[in-house]
Amino acid sequence: MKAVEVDCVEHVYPDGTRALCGARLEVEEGESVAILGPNGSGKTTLILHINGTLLPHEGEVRIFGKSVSRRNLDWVRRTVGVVFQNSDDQLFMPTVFEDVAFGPLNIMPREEALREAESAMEELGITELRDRIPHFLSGGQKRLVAIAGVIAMKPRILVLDEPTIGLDFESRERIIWVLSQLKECHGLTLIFSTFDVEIVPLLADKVVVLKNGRVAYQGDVRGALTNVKLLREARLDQPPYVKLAEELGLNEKPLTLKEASALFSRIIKSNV
Amino acid sequence: MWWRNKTQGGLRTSSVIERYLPSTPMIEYFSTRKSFYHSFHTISKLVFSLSMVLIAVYLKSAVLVALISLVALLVMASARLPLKTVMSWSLTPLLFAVTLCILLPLIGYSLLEAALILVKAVTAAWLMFLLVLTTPITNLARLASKLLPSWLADTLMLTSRYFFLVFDEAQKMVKAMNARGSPPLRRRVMLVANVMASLFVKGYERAEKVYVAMASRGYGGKIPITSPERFKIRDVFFVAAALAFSFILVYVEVFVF
Repeated sequence: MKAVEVDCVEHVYPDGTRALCGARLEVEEGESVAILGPNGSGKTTLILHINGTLLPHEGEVRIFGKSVSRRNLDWVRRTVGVVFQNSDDQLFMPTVFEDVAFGPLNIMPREEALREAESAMEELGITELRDRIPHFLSGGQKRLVAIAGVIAMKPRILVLDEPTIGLDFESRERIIWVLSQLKECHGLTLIFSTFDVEIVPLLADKVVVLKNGRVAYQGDVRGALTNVKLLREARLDQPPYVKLAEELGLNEKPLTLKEASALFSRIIKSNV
Repeated sequence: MWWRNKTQGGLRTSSVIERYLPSTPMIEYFSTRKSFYHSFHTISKLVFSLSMVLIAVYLKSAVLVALISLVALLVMASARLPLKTVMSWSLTPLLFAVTLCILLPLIGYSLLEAALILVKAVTAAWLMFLLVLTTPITNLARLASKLLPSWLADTLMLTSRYFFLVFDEAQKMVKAMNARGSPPLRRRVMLVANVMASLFVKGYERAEKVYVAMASRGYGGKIPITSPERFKIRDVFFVAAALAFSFILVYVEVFVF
């Protein structure tokens, strides 16, 4: 079943900026999609359309076959959880637990909401932050709390705007692990925008490249990350292992450390 | 403790402000701590603080007003609030009070009366600090929503939540300005207008983003509360004691002094 269908969506901001021009996108249920594109290409605008925060001026966005409109915004927001780029905008309650419980309390009976909030915090390994004040958490902790606040609402689709931006190595690794767990164990449909090409092969099944508000590429991860021209146009760098393979003149292009180590082991063995 | 470092050494961007005004994170830090006084119902703490403020305003005896100040300090100490820090925060309301009291002798008040008003102002500030530093902002907002429309109560809560971020932003901008060379005073004054305009735009943008985040998490016009408070027997005793103390003070003022 199609979880998300973006059909010829156009969006123009009040200042006249045309952020999306006929964008088309299809995401299957349980699929994980990375949205790549340079600054100003319309990534955030597209994300805000998926959960109905913005409504298209032309075209249509469908979630599980239902067209997103003002009438079903509550349902859309329950179905599509969004984690924003700047966690500080998302954490507005006095304590971590109150913030995580904010969403569930809006849509579920109290007991169930508190249970879901506890369980989301447990799942993300942040129970020790329960009574902490969001303002004083590290960037990685804030991002985890923001994800917990959305997961606690039990969405079927999770959308993240640049989930690893501005994080240190350890926090980034933790976010990657959390997202892969959510995808594998809960079968969540995952859509994330990013500049971090290294996380794409670890999390995504499909890549969408946006350019000037249009979908310039929609297809498999390897096809996108080994296409130098496409990445240049999207002002993105190739993953380091792909670059290394190109430098060495290899035909095979590994996307991840695992693939690279397997390739180089094979080469070393064949040369011995 | 971070607040101790901040108030003594000034570590973070908002440190200068936090030395003289409690920031939202500081209020949240203290209000979510645990103590016997913290555990009272919001209504009980509100009744105590308000009744003491009203009585302090009414009293003419400096001794009795001083007694209320002493009680406020004792309760603050029992609630494990940092007295030294509260004293430095008191300097801000004191500044306003002093400005007013300097003018009072000019319109016929004696110096003693002006001094009494000064003490009353500081006492009222301490009692209000006691209330906000021991009561989570969500509880105060919930109480306010019983008297005001919930959208207004939520707005007040979010305003208090983000108000100090405006100061943070202002400080960052001033630092950035100074880092590129300190402009002369005249130009600096003119730049204040630019800073204010910039702050307004940033504040508006932040408000929009927070609203979008709230809406995307199902906000329907009322901020939910995780643990509703219960008015217990000890609250009844506490409120009764606060009112009795107020009555005794008035009685002493009227019949003894």
